[in-house]
Amino acid sequence: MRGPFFESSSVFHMAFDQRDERTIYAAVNSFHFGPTIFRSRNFGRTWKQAKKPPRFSEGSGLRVENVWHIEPGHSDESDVVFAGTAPGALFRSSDDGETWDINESLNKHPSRSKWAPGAGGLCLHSIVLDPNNLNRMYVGISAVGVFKSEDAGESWATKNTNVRADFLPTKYPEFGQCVHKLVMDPTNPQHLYQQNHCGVYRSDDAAESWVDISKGLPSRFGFPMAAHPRTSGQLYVVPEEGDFFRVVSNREFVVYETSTAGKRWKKLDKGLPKRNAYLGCYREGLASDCLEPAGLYAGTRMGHVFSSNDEGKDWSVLAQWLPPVYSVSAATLN
Amino acid sequence: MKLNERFPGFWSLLVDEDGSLRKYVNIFVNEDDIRNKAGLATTLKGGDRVHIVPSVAGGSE
Repeated sequence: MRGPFFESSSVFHMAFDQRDERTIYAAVNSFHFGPTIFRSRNFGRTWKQAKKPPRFSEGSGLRVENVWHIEPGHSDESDVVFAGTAPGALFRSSDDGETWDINESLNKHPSRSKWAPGAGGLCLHSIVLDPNNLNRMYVGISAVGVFKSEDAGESWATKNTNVRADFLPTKYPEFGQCVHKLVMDPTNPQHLYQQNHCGVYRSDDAAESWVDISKGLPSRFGFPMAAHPRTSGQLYVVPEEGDFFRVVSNREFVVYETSTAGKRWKKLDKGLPKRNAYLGCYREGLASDCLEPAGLYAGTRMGHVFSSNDEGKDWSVLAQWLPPVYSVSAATLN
Repeated sequence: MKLNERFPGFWSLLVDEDGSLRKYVNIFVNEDDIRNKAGLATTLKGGDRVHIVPSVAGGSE
């Protein structure tokens, strides 16, 4: 194990750039020196800080509080990287993360004046790119919902049809839902999934509408979600009791799997703590690699990392006694 | 700002988007906190020593 890096800072997310199989981006948030993004091209031996980190325009009255998520761009745009921040904003770099520019279209969306932060703040935590369509992308913002662009970010539309917001007077508002994590089926870009504050959902039509697939899970609440790298309709979640008690459901730190796009769920628990486990998994804390069979990894708020080499059938401790694990990412090298 | 030219990104570690010194960053010129002087507009003269010190505080729990 190498590190620690960025001591005294909170690293909300680390993203491995599969395009060049060597670059790692880190969303580093310092209590003192603010948020920024670092890049390593040698697996963490050295890091370089962004020359111009994500920042709102001077005079906007807004201040980047934290960088929440980093997403490498399309394979055809090797120097493009995206970042999501709190308060909810999308940034784009076209120079491998050296400098970052805000997406003003999303920043000035007509709905913005009505965005109300949740417990995690207005964090833009999910950025999903359609691999078959350079112009189509999605973002997820806590307590606001899912947005979709069909023109490479020039304009955005809310996409929350049939997603519940139990904490609002209107159960199915146009926006205001609290999406916790948004992922895409890697083999079928029309299919997306979200772990929401109020359920787990699937879209079969590129986010135009959503289907509730929470039935079979011990809770509708949770944070992380990971998709299988190759098998369509297969994904994983870690349910928690609820917003009132943020520990894993039934005090068992287990992973639930669906291989039927959410029609049925199966508990994966062999080798995981199943009694008195007052643990939780952050939204970036669940990951899969691209190996065959796929490996799965789950990090906990209490500093454990569990891993499985057989798609979740068996788990073992990979690391423990770490600080809270905010992010788990797997790098698959050829 | 010359430091920022030499070390790009340095200024953003100290200053917010609105141009104000970050809340938990203290800058001293010799022994004087610049917040008690002219803030970021505090002028320097030869021989001055500038200290950039993150705030310290006890735990929150």
